Amino acid sequence: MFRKITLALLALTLCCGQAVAAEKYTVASDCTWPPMEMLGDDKQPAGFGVEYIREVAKAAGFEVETLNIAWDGIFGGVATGKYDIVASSTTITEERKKQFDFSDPYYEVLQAVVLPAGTSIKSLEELKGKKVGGQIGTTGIFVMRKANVGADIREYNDVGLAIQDLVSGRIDAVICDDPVALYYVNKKADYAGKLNLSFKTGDPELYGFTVRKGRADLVAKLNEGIKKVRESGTHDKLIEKWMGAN
Amino acid sequence: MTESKTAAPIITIRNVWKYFGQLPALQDVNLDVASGERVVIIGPSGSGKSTLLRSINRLEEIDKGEIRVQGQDIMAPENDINLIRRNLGMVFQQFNLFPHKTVLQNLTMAPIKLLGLSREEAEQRALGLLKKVGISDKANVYPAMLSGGQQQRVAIARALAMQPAIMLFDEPTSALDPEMVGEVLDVMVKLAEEGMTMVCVTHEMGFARTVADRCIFMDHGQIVEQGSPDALFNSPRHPRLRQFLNQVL
Amino acid sequence: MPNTENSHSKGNIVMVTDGASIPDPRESRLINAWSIALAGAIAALLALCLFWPEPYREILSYLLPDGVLITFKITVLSICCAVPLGLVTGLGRISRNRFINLLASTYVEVIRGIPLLVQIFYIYYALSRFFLVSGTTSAVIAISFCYGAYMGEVFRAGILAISKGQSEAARSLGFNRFQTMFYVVLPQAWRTILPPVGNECIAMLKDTSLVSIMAVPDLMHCARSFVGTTYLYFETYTIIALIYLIITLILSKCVSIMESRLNYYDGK
Repeated sequence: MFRKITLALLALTLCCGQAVAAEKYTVASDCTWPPMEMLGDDKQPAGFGVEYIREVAKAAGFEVETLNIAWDGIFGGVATGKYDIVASSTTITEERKKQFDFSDPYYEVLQAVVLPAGTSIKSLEELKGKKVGGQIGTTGIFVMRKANVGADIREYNDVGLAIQDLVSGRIDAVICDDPVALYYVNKKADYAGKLNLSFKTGDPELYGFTVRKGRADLVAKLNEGIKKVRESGTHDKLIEKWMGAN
Repeated sequence: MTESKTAAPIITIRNVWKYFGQLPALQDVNLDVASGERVVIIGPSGSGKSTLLRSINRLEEIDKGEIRVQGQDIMAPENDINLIRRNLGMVFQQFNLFPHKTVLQNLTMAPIKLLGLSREEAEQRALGLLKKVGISDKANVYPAMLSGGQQQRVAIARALAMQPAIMLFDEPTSALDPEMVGEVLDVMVKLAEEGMTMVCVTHEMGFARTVADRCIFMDHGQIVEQGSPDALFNSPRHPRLRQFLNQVL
Repeated sequence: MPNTENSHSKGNIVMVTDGASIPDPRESRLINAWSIALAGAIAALLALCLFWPEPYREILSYLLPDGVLITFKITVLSICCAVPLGLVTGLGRISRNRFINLLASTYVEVIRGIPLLVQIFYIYYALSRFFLVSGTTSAVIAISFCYGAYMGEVFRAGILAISKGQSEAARSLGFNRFQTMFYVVLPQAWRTILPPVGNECIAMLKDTSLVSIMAVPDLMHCARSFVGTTYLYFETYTIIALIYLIITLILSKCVSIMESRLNYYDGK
């Protein structure tokens, strides 16, 4: 009897809670991709992408909680429903669209090649026979594979490790999204003067928020939010805040 | 017979002390063994007789005193104990044959590796010895296939393969079933008859009587009484020896 | 890791390890855990590739020649370093020389207290300030040092399990300590040592998957790279699990065969 009452009470509080609070979604971000997704000084997820999804949620009337999830496996989690949204500088690609649904694009990047200071290239072809690092499963790696210039492609767990190996001389170049490349070249004190952003590919890539296939409801909410964020000028403020000094 | 052994002793043991922790296992032991002499050491268990025997080839390290084998101080750093041991054949209570080697290999290993014999020479010597101990038909089996008595006879042959000047026996029949004791003792008697210098720790009083030139009775780490087997067994002087003989005979 | 407890006459061992279980060499029945597992794994792999060539055959062809070869290369190199290191460590641990003994014991204590992943990272990144080693090399170094310490304990236990009478018999014939160890004690100790060492080697093969974090394209890394492109998590990791399983089952059978060969002198 007592149990029945507790259960009933519990159900009641749950209903009320839902009625009162806005809908809450969990968001996965790989916080090894500065300045887009990174860990702030308080060890909490921070960065352009992390704030962007927060603003999108605010504008569209829902709440988000961001989890730091390793890139390797981040899509598996959204496919199995562990979290609702991947907001992790995900480029919208044809392959990914086969498996997942995407929001409208919210940002545009290029692939950038980082070299040791004092060296430069004019095309990907010049990376022939060179060791080129990148983060496993990122578009940088895909671009290198597609270019097929005969480079030795090294896939790292995160781009920071690749940059570290570039600085210590184990590899010759790193390929990643241009904001990330700029961050490592210009904003990391440890690497000051050691790196050179030498080359950007010509094909722009568009970031989108990733959801499980068939979540049209969520995509609609995200698109609504993105539209409002753009219109309100928050979009430009965030760009200024996180990428401005570049 | 003892009178004829007046030459320099082949083993001299002088004022030897050995402690296991605080416990003295040997207390001021003195003993000379002449070349060709057969010495049998008897005594209750824990009397230090095995410790004394194992001290002669330095399997136990003595704490005080001096042991010389063929004139060489076995504790002196300048004397290579491994060379001295080649002249001191030893037979253990537990046989300690090398189980991963055949009987023949047990006999040839040390002569080949240590004396530099060729395999043919070593095998010839080994087969001769196996014949002597009466198991030439088992040359190519592993020790696990042999009875205890057979294993101990192989162990004696293994020690002899190094052609030692002295043989040390540490209770060679104590681990054997009674029906196998005889075959091992027979080999030892044969060896004694050939004039081998032997120091033997045993509980076989019959063997002591028939083979020993001299019997040593030890108790509490000391040599209590020694003399011809006849004197020791028939007219023991010391009360502890009398008590011991009453118990074992 | 291995918790050995010996009754020296028979060399029975009670082991708790993270390695695969070595099949009992006396097990003669056709149907046993080993054969069921192997047949099942192979059948599953074949069935997947036969009935769903897309994507399974594609996955397999992405992983098979290169990834497995690198995994094998790292494993074999690590075994070649770890086994001698383990022997030296085991001998050091029973050495009467205080300095050597202390050195070996400290090595074992230190290594056993640090996770393998940390050791690999340490050699790869922390030491890169002083010298640059490739991912493969640092993996081999880290795995060898790690497993050398564990194997040191196996060797020590195996050597101590040989009765004292054996070395006394050898010493009484005139063999020195070194000869006694190598002619008499170690050949017998191998029997006790081989199963746990074999187990360690198999555990080692599985642990090589850690090198994937250093961008070394081993079997595991190839799988992750493939997943990173295709998002076929379930399919790819099913295949990879089956491949690891088949390899470790075959290796454990090899160890078992070697073990039975070493039992030749039992007189049974």
